[in-house]
Amino acid sequence: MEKAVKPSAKTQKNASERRWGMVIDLDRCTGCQACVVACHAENNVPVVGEREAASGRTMHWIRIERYWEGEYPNVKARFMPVLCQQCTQAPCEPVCPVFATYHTAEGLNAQIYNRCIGTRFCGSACPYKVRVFNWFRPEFPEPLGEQLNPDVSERSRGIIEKCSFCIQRLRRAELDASASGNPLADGAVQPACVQSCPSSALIFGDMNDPESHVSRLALSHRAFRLLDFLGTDPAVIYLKGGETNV
Amino acid sequence: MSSTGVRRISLGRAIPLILVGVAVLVTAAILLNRRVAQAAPDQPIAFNHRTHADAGIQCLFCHPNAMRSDVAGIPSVQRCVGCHQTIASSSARIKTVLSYWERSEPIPWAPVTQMADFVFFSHQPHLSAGVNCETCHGVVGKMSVVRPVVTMDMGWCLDCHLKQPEPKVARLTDCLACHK
Amino acid sequence: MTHTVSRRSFLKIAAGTGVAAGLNPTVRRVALEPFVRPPEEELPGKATWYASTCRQCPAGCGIIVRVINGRARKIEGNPGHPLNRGKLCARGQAGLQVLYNPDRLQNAVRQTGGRGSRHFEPLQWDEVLDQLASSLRGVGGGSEVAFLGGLMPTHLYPLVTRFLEALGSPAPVLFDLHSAMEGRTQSHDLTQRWFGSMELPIYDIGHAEVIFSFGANFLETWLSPVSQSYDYGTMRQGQSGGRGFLVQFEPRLSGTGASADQWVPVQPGTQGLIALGLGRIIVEENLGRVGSHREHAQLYRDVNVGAVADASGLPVERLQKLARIFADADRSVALPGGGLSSHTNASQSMDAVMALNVIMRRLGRVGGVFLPQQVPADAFSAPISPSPFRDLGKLVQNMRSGRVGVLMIYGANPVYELPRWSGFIDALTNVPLVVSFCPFIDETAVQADYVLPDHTYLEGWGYQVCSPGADRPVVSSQQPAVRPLYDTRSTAEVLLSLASRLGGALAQALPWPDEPTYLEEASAQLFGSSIGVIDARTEAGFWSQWRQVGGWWSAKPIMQEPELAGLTEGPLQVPSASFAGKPDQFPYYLMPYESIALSDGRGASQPWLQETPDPMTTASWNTWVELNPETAAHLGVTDNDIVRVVSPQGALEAPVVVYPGIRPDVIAIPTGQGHQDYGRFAAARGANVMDLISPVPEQEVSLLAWGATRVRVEAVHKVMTLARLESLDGEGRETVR
Repeated sequence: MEKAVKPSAKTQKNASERRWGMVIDLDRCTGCQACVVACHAENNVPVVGEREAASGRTMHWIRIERYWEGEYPNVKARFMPVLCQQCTQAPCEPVCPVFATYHTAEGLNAQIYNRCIGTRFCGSACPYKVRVFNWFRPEFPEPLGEQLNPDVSERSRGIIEKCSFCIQRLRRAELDASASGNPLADGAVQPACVQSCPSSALIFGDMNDPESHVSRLALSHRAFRLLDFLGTDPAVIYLKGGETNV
Repeated sequence: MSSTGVRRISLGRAIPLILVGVAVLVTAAILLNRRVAQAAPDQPIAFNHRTHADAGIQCLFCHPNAMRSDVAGIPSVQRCVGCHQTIASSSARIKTVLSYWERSEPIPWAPVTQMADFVFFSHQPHLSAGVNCETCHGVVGKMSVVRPVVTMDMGWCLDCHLKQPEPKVARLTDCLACHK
Repeated sequence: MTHTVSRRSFLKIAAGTGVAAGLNPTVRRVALEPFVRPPEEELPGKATWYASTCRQCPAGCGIIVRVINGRARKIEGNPGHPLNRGKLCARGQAGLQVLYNPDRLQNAVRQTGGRGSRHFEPLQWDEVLDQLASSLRGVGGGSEVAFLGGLMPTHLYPLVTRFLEALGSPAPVLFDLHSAMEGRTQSHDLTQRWFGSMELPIYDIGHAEVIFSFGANFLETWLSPVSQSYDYGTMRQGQSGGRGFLVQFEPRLSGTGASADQWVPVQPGTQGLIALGLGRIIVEENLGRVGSHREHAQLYRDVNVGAVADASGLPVERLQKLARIFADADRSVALPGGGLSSHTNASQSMDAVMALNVIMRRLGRVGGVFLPQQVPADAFSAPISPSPFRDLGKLVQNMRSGRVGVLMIYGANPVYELPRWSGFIDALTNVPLVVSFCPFIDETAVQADYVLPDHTYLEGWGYQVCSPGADRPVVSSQQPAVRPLYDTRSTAEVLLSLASRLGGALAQALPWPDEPTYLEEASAQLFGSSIGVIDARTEAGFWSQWRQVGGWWSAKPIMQEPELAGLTEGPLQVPSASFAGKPDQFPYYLMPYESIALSDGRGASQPWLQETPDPMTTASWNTWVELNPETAAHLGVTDNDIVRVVSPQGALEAPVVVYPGIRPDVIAIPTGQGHQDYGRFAAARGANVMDLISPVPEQEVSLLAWGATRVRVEAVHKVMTLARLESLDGEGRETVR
């Protein structure tokens, strides 16, 4: 596999100053699921219940994949958080018949809920299978609905949704930055998963800023990207879990 | 089979009639909708913006949050009572306002300007950019009863966003700027 | 033949279309209600953040709650808090579903149809407090009040103890399954034996080079998982000296084991023995760079490494290699975990593990073992330990003999959590008045006469001394993020109201008019401290900052070096663990373990937690039985086949998860499901593994050895599709490098 590179900016028409990216350090990830629940809480992601979960219809925008390696007693388990990779060459974007998904100048793969008509072509095209579909009307038995985040739409039945890098937080942070006149510092805005992760396995920031934490981590020899050979050019970079040093 | 008293029309002639009928009804529906959307909603107290504006009160005196946050907000009952415990306090309408204050009850105003629930809108950047209240809300200072003056659909917002200075346009026409 | 349509039908169709086209969906009436009096800190459209403390587990992490329009929308870790440093676990994030749970009690209630009828009638608080006060007046002279507490906030404990003392009743008994499975009591006792202190030790995981964790699931459920996970991240990639090395000793690969560099699948009950063997090797071969081990040689006088190898199943060469790894490191630390507390040889095993830290001179050293610096104020300086299990036995005896006139239960669900043989459920019949403070109708509330629902923690006041602590003394403050949703009442306020109603000694013991006054007075004890982060010129200003900042802590890290107070003379011994059930009838060891989402069962009411995939099995919403692949093949079962697990005490049925990370002679079942009550998301789902736990014949009621049960497993030839995130078709994609 080729050495990990930062997602390219060359396909963007209106090259913006920022390029959002995430680094996931697999050596720190403990599989604790804090990111999974934080995301549900932040983005009004519905709970589908046992029956639908058993049919594979859970709607986690971020999931922890657990891989077994080896056999007892020399068995290891590894964790890998998988979320929308915000691919620069996203396979999901060209297949939408109504242009409900497109690539923003800042490197996000946007999903516009009220434009989506639920063909699910994008979900089929996504090699990471991070797009989830509202097969049923999401339910929040009262008063659970009081918790819903007003900065994020409540989706209805028949709509595809996925991780947005917490666009509502990015938007809010940019507005506050321009209102106050203070530029956005590295690490000042974090998606919910990044903020909650106890072991700081998730890092988020501007890939276009060479001084940012994500940019520096992306240079690591441990860096790789998922399914790189498909040419999706993802904006999520993983750092390989280390081996023993004893 | 035909029964007495019923004139029959062939399908060939019925179809164009149906199509015309549908077209008429849809147009009527659209026009009716616009009328409803731009009608002044009923308010619990007949608040008159014109008298207050004529008295010299600025928009931001009662709606200060427009400068600082997403929503302009409706003034608290305390704000109304601040003046009206002495000013015009004998009028029937003011007595109603004061009665809400006595009961510590909020006045259930009907919202005039509402966006669809999938739209993100913040007053603060618009005011910072120098957009006048009247641009979107009309000349409220001359309205006795507030009503919407435009239908705030996406096209209307985009009309203005597209007219902004070149470096801003890309950001303002990005879907995610407003779709949450 | 031409189709014809009658003019009547045409007009009907046209009219119908017209109505449909003209119908307007926007005919809801919406009202915009402004404030009557705008609060100072609120800006409409902007969120207000309130600092408080999480109560989903005993750790006491600091949180900040995002409140918009008086509704709590999101919980985050408090970035300034020295324990969790801005981070928060899955359970902490799910706290909003406790606050807004649809099955919360909205009033104080009385179970009018008798216990177990589930027929509850709402009561006015004044009425119920009057009734309770008159019952309490009848206490004394042979009749006493008993208080069973579970997750007991630090601020509530003194109120409860004073309350009981003034009534001439014994001190509260503290028991909850979570603390039992973490081995909290045993950990407090361990520090007492070695260092003469009741504090829980702080293990400096973040700066350790080598960590030997003996059954400590420190990344998931043990003691203070968020703080420990934060430190784990540092240990891996945040240290300048290189990446740390973790060895996990446990019969079943836990989440922490999955993140370890080496997993040693130990035979249940032999962890302590292995620690002894390692210590013996280190001392005998004079390993490590600490100079002479002569001082501590007598600890291992009676240890024979060959015997340890035989008993544990680990060959001598393996023990030697492990000993070298531990001893050669500059900064190594051994963790005596909750898994050790599940066996009958718990305290001796933990001693053996702590001894490793002693012989390697890790006390008070970077990457080693510390004691917390005490908070410099009386209100916050006494650590609270859950009671030894025998105290629960005494309580049950008192209940059975009719001594207990009033039983109060707070923060625990003993009817669900305790095994039947503890006698608790049966002894309830001899208690005339049972009062629960649970905000929900859980299994224990169903056996109560009154339920006086406490506020949920996001609506309540309090403080918590974090235990185990952080790298500096810290008290975490708790304040309401939202107004209480319903007519619930803080348990502290209930006690204060009862005290004022009863007057006399009780009113003198609890003189505060309300909870915030009590808290303000307690916090003021820290006002004069020069080492704290709060800089206030008045007590009122201090109280204000205490709430705003989220508590009090010292500006700089301060920890104490533990001083050896005992146990360094006599030789250490770890007796073999005893188990209930004979191996020929019950061939497998049963290992219950705490689900990271559901904990000991308290998380089952929150749908987010129910749907959270278990990290190791990716399963959710149910109970399952983990079998080693060889065991599964031997039994002729595979994934999703239902098996019946039978112990000397009871039985349950659940689907199989073929689990590579477990010994072939061990089966594991997560706690948390099998509720009969506790709300729509918890009830009638899965099975309660505590039904299987059997008393170990010699120990009976004096010890809850929750990992000392043997079982047999039978296929029942039924299948159930367990909800899993992973697919079982085995067609994995190579996405991990």
